[in-house]
Amino acid sequence: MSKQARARARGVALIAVLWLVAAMALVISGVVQSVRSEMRTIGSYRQTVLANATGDAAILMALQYLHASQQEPKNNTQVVPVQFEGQSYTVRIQPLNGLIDINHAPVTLLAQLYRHASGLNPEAAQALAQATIVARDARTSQGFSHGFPHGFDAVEDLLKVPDMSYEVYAKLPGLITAELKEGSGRVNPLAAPLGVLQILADGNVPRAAMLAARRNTDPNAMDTSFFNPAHIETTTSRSLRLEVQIEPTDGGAVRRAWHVYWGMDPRSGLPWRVLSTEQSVHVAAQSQG
Amino acid sequence: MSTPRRPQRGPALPQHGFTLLELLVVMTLLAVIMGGLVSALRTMAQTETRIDQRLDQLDEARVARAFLQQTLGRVSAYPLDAPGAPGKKAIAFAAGTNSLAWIGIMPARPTVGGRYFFRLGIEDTSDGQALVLRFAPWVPDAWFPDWSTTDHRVLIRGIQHLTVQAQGLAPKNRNPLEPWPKGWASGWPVTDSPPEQVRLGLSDARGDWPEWTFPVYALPQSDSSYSSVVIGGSR
Repeated sequence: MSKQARARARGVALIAVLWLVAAMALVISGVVQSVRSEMRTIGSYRQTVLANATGDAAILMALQYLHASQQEPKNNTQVVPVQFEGQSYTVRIQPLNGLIDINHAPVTLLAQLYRHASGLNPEAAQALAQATIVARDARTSQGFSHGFPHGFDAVEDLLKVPDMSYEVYAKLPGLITAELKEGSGRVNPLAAPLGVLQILADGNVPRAAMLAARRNTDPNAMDTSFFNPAHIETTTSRSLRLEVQIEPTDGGAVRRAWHVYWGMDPRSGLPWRVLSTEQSVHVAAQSQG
Repeated sequence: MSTPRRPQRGPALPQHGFTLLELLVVMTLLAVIMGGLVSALRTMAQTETRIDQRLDQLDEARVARAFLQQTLGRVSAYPLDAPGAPGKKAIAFAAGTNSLAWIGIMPARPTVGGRYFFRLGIEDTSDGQALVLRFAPWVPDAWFPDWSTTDHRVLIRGIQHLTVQAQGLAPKNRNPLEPWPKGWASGWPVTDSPPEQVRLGLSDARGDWPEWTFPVYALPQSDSSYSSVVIGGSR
């Protein structure tokens, strides 16, 4: 073989090898990419699980503190600082009667809710409030569940109300509850978040904000004369929401919440019963009214 | 004048061609090398597909787990007339050894949400066996629906076995003569009270998965064991 021909043959071999190396590199980089993105997902999943476990521990410590200090639940939102593994967290204890109880609320309050929270016009809000009452009070006279009013087991059950659209419902979570056992249908303005105060104030947003600001500095200074007396009461509630925010290192925040009933658990004998638990991940810290 | 010299043959000749034997050796070697390379590439491609499949399955598992945690965590436990046993009350929570049926809360999204009948089990699908969730909207005076006609979703593909275990303490006011399971029981034999925890064991062709344990909380409106005084309520 001449020198030239040998060089050409080497060139072909080099190109073939380069092609093969490129093909393998593509396949390998694809595998590495998908494994790496999975590692990231698992990493953030792990952080969320850890944050939830920490949140559970903080909430349990707050419950134990309430029990140990022999405190009955208060009628306003309480903040309990707890220490866990060298970190301090604040657990907010909010009586659930600060929210609108969809199982017992009067039709006028439901109409105000649909009007000011979901933005319905007064007639539509009134009609939907009526439909809500009809749906929750319906009873079956036969079948497996006869005798029970259908009620609302959870806030999502509102979607079973005829004419309730998702657009109307989507603005309500955070303002309503279906977990009150001892419901009178009235709202405790001392424990109500800003959104509920706006509804109680019949849509008067600046006044609700002013009342909330005054209440947050001193709960006893709350002026309730502006609200419809048929919609409010300042009693305590045994149903509580305990919420804690855990901030893992990656900048986001995990909010863990337990809804508990402050009464003896007939099974475990503990002084509280868990109604439900919730977790949500937030990109940036948000404040509630 | 001498005749022009012919190009010299002999030692220079092998530079212009190969013998048949050389070609055969080269072709065999090339075939072996190419075969090796092709099989290596194919193995890598297969590995990538398998990794992708596994990651997809893990994704499905994470979504399924979060969904089950949400829906099993809020169980409707109204004491209903037990089917086939008039006068006896039962709750609509049926845990067999390989399936689980309950009334839970479907997360809200357009057109669905609220109380739903759910059933979890292994079913045959077009891709082989899978963990399938069947669901139907809650109807007030009905026991569980005919599951074969309900809507369903494949939760995790490739799952071949599901085992259901449950445990819970007996309520203190319960008649001690009535049987109550001790510790983890296969399925849930109690008909009038839900368990406190459910544990699901899944396995696929590669073997058993780590077990999933979910707390079960009865929704307070549906649970008759709350001893509170009802003020102004209709129940």
